Amino acid sequence: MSDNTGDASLHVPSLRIEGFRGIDSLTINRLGRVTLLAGRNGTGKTTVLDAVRVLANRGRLSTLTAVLDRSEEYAGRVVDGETGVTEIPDFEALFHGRQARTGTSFTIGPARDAHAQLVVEVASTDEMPEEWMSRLGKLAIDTQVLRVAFSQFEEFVPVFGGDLDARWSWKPPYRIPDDDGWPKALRAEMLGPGLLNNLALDRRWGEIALTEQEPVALRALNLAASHRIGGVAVVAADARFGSLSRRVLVKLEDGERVPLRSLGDGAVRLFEVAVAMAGASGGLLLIDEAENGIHHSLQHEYWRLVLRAAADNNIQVIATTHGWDCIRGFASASRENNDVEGVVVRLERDDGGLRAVEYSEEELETATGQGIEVR
Amino acid sequence: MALPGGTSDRVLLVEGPDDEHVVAHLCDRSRLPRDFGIVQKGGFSGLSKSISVEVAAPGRLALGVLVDANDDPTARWQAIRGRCERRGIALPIHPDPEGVVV
Repeated sequence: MSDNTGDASLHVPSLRIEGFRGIDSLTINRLGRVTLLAGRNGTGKTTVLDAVRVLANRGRLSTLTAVLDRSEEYAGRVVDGETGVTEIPDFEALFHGRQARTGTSFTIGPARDAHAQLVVEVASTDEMPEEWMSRLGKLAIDTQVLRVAFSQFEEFVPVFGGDLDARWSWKPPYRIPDDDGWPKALRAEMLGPGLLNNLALDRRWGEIALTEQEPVALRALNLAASHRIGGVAVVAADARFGSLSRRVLVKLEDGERVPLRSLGDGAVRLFEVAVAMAGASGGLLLIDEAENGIHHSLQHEYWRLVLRAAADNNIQVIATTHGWDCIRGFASASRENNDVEGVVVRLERDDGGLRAVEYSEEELETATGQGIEVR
Repeated sequence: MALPGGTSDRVLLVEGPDDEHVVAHLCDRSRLPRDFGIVQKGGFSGLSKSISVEVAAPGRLALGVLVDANDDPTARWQAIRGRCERRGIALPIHPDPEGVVV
């Protein structure tokens, strides 16, 4: 690529990951306003999304736990008669090679900005207040300490491994720092490869309903929907499905009210993306397996929606894909939107480890026009 | 619009059908193994533009380029050189008459 520096106006213009989960070392010199990550299964595409999520939330324990929950990485459990089973996240699995000795660390940040790197390191338990360790020691709980550092900020966070005795309250005997004094997080919405259930859709819709973001989401949804949708409502579902169940209804232009799911998986995926875009305004949107549920003929419109909404709402989008139709639709939509930079990056493993192959819009146009493989 | 094809790990890019026939005959007459794919690019412009993408195709081990040298070979060499540079492949400023392998 001729220009080898990322756009500084982006939240994450470039990316360097060291020692995080399955990634020993990876540098992506340039991310776009919208970046599509391609590559074979197991190359680490979803791990890159997880890394960006951890960076966006400045290493907060809640996000580290969410990353481990997503891949069901648990070290043990607490079985409690009252609350049932609580899985204990395996924090060692955050580190490359699953080694978590004192001094083991991972780093996530832009490729060339040392001040914006997030470092999470296994620290000595000596860093914890003696009173806490003494209490934990009496409870015979396997404890490790993580040092989280970002810019001038540094915090020590205790984490646990192995099965815990249910007689010990799951609530830690001290405050786990998460927001007090922690650096401000970037908004980061993540959509997984599967469709959200109605409760999750309700939660996301609830965050934007009746706000200035609602018409933004509806406009985005209508860009690619085959039906003109005038409104969305979430209602209580049939009592048979429990008091917490929800149904998402949409109002079509002829006034008919129909369930969103009756319009097909594509409509649900577009709704998810539209609502997530509205929720991610000014931040990051991470989409795993972006093409899921979207018919190949809609890929161009889909990416047009994402590119426009990303530019209009200052959102940086990073998505993964396996699909040629997805890349082709992305390439044509990027070409149409000259003011929004679309980049494709393929991750591949060779003898030298994991590397990123970056494609500019022009190269993408050539690849899709001539049928040259980029995935 | 084309679908991704030409998944050969060794590929020779040529401008058009005549070039492909020449290479095929050369291989036959010289009993050279045809263990590579030949991809026609419909002219120098399409060929030149594709170099930085073809060389980065997944699994690609070798990429050869055959172009017509009748029409301003220096400009053509510089165009190819520029496209290779994008992928960090440094070609000499002037082509070697004996051939260039990097």
